[in-house]
Amino acid sequence: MKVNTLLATAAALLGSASLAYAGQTIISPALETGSNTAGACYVRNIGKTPISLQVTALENLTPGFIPADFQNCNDAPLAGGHSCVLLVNNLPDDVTFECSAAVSGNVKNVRASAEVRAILTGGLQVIAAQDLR
Amino acid sequence: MRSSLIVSAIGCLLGLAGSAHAAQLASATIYGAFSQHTAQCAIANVGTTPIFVTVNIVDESGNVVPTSEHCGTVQPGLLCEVFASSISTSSAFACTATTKGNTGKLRGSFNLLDANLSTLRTVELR
Repeated sequence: MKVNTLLATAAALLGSASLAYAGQTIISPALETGSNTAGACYVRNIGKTPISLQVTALENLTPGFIPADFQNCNDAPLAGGHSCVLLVNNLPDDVTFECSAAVSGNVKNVRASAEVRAILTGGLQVIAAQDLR
Repeated sequence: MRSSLIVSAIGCLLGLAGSAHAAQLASATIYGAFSQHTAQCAIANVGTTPIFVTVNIVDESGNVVPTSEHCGTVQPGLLCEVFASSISTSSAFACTATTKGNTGKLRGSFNLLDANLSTLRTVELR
């Protein structure tokens, strides 16, 4: 009986460890936009195995309002050691911008960042950024 | 006795799971500005024993960027800095610090600097 209890405890421990690998969504804090700003969401897989992602740009924490002008995150698994990006060339003025990433796999192996960039004459400059957690 | 054996076996299993891989601290992939010129990764040992660390700066595709060095043994209370100069002004970069031991006593930051070595962007390795 005691042995059975120990085995059950072990199974529960290992089971909960597996559950931690189920899909999770990470999201950035809100970043304020302004006039002439662009947005970017970078996701990096620091593990060795590919992970599947669904990266989305949000406006005021709501999906569907900011379409991506470019993304290489959502159509194929992201290989270990690689990064992908979702870019928005012109963000709406005076809203908040956020990035979310639904991750199939271990989110511990993901590092991700959301950026708001000023569009300047010479190019882009990041003016606000936050990690996705 | 039998219970002790099972408990020991579970302990070994969990122990192995924790020690089978090298540990790493890693930054997010970040972009600074069109004026970005240098990437700098700084790893500090806040513990009391030396720690051997390998530090790499990588591009978006995971390719290791040529750097001044890759660190090695970092003494307690000291830090190691790795630089990559003349980086692309249109790409994002990241930093990874790998050690065979525990990363609990390591602290890392990754910075993108302009040509005047002014900081454009900083992110923590975790």
